[in-house]
Amino acid sequence: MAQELRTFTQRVTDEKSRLDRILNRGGTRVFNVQAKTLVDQFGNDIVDANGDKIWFPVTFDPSAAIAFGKSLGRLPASTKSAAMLLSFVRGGPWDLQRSYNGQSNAPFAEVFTRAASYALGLVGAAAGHSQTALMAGGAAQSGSKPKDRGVEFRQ
Amino acid sequence: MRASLSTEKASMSATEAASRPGELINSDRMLLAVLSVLLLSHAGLYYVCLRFNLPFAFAFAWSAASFVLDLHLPESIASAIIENFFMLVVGESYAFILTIRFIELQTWKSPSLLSCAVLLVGYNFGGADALDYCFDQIRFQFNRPAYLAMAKSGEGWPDSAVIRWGESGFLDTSIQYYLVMDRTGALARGEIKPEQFGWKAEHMKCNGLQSRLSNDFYSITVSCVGT
Repeated sequence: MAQELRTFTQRVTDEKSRLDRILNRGGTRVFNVQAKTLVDQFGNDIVDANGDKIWFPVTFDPSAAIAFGKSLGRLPASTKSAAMLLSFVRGGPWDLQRSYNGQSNAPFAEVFTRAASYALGLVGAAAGHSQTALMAGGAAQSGSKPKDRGVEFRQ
Repeated sequence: MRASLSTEKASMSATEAASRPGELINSDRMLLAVLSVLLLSHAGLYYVCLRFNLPFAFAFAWSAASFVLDLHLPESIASAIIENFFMLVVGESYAFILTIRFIELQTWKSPSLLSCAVLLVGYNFGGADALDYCFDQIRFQFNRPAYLAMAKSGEGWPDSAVIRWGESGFLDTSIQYYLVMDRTGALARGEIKPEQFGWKAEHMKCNGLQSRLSNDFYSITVSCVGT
């Protein structure tokens, strides 16, 4: 398999409620993102659990993610998780869904959702977190059991 | 001399024994104060972290999930513990203190400790949301002139205004907060649903919640997660 490059069109909607119409706000934002696939050392595509190719921002560099994870691994355990999460929260430097096309804190690009999870695993593993901890942590943060309001993300 | 010393010792130990329940009762009050501050801090920390995109609450949740998973419990039990980790830790500490107290005093009676139990149960069943609403109110009332000025400078004045009130997110989750001024009555009548506010990507499912802060102003929370 060879690495592929592609441009995806993304849509983010600000639904127009009656209030929004009064305010003349809302609507759908359409934008393009440049994406690439990755191949491993044996030439196999990096795929998700369903076997589908994962699309990454063209600027994503896995070796930089590993180096960042290793630098976190040197931190005390108490600060390691916080430091890692700080870079993955909305608009953080490793939030791949909002860091692409040379921008940071850009509109949410859904095509990079799986890439963001992959990057979390890569950085987390390099930082010394176990796979189970990363999967549980990721699920806990991303609200795999979403409730009605944000405050219920509390533990 | 020896006789007077032993009498003194006996009277001191009697005094100690007599003063001990008093100390414990004081510690009951202290426990109530500590618990109140702890719950208030917990609610406050989550309020700030979720609105200002800070990772500390997430880091706490992450550490709790990692800790519970290392215990290798069945998935359903682990999941339940992770979801209620904070309350379980606080509740168990409280039960431990209560047991020690019972061994020392042989009684469960204590207004302070009863208040602690009420606080704990209340916090878990709606108290956290009530505190969240209080924080919203405090924030709104303290900055009311500024919000009114923002509404006046908006296009919707004098009928409506939508002010971003915070946002956080992680991976494909987004939590958005809005302060909405609505003099059209559309929100109050339910013509506009709170989940209609905010942005969403194509494959996101969103839930919304609205709380009235004053006659015209509402706090809107929109939680979205990828599907």
